[in-house]
Amino acid sequence: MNSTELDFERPLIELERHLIQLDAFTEEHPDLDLTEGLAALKQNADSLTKQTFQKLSRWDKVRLARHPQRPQAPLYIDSLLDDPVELRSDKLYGDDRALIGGLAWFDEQPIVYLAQQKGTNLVERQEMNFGYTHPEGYRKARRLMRLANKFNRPLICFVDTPGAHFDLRSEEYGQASAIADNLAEMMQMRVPILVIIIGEGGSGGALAIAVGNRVLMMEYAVYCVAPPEACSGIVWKDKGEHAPEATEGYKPTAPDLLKIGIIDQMIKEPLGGAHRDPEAAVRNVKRAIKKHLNELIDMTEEQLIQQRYERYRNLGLYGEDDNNCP
Amino acid sequence: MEKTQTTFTCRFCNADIKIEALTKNLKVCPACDAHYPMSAQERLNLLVDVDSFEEADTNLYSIDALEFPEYPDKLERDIAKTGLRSEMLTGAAKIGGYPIAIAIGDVGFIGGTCGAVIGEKVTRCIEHACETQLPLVIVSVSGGMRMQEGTLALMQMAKTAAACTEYAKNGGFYISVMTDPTFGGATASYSSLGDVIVAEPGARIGFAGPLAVASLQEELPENFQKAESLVAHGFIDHIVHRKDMRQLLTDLISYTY
Repeated sequence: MNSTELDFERPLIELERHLIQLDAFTEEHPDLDLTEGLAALKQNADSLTKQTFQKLSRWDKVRLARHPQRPQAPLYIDSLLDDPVELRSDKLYGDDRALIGGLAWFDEQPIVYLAQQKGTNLVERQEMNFGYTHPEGYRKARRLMRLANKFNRPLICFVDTPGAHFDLRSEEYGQASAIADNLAEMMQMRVPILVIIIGEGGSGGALAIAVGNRVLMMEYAVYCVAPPEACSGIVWKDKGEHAPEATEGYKPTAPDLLKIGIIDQMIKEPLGGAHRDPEAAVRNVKRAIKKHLNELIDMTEEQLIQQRYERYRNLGLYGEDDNNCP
Repeated sequence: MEKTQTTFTCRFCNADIKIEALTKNLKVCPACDAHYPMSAQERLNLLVDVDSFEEADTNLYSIDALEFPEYPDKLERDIAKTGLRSEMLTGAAKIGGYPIAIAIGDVGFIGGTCGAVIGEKVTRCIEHACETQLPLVIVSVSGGMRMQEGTLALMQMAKTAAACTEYAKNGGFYISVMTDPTFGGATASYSSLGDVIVAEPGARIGFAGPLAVASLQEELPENFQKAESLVAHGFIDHIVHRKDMRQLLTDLISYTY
């Protein structure tokens, strides 16, 4: 059994393995005709997956968003963008591997991209700090935002981070100030900003590259104010044991956020999640980017700034009433 | 920290202080100058000209939009405890005779955390300053974003930053005052976007919560996440004793009025 499998995936993967064995068996025995039986079994496997995924809890989705095999930004960059040139400098003091960016083409349109990444093996994960963004990353992002603005190129951001890093150095290098500067920078940009949350959208670390004209989110991605474990620690005063309850409580999944206007579109994932069929996931993301970019490119600079401002100005649910005010 | 009803032991210098003496000294320890927390109302009295404050947006209140466990109970408890209707004081006032727009946080309400109400009140306060071309003073105190309001709380960072940007574009002058503690989303949005940023001595200021930082078990310098360290690292302009804050604000405002 593969240690990266989630508990609810195991019966599905088990069944799939049997199907593959059966397939091999029929190939070895052409005299036996098992086609009908096999087709029925495959259909059963699909409907079992469908049933399982319809019943996923919000916490299950957090675990899918963090799945070690989940497609990461480099796959989307390689598959969707042409001739990307990475620009690594923040022009201050370092290169954050957790947040990368550069120039590229999307569908014959020159763009600037920003992307967060966690790494796919231990060496990469250490190099990328498991996706926890550093102040250098935010400042590199700001430099690239300014470049996009200068050359009038749309900005496409792939968000995937558990959150801002929480070590001594990130604090002393002023990550709060760096994040705040990025929010202000994005608000003023006169080019389209398209944000796609592909895995974890963790707190200020995610928001620092996620103020967009449109914010899209993969079906099993999450976007939250703080990681569930941190929320558990703050609200339940524990070491993260209430993370599943915290997740149910603050509702960070794509359908939840679509309902309250925090995201504009949920991008469907292939059956079983993006990691079960990365190519299909890439196709769906491409279609969504194309659609929204086409709409945004027709807007004037003023319209883009105004629409982005109003998008965020109107987010927040509160009571306003003289009579009911406590 | 209280010993009896009339004295208490300072948790910084262990001196036994009469509560009356502490109150008279603006809640600053007379022995060691440690700055103790103040409520929004106390701070307002300290900073603005007598009878000059006109409160705005008093009818906003937090709701449990996401049905987060126990949130309504906590809201009710803190409304009773602080007597605050809407978590933060905002409005128009005068400092040293100069009309200004002002917002003052209060740490007593769900740990001073920032949710949709604070986001909206800060935003409206900035918009008011923008429309009336008044200088803006925001006194921050925050325990980070409010978990019970989830991603909506996170969005308040973008919303308040947007208002700051508009205000700056219109030539507004914004003084951010950071007090103990200022953490999380507040620090990473409106609190850090001031034209001038000042803080009280010893104020704990940061993005990551101290518990999260401690979990990495790094050796931390004495002043870590203190106002003094932020000055040394280039993120704050000035550390000002509470008794001098009003004069400094007056001086600063006078340069742009």
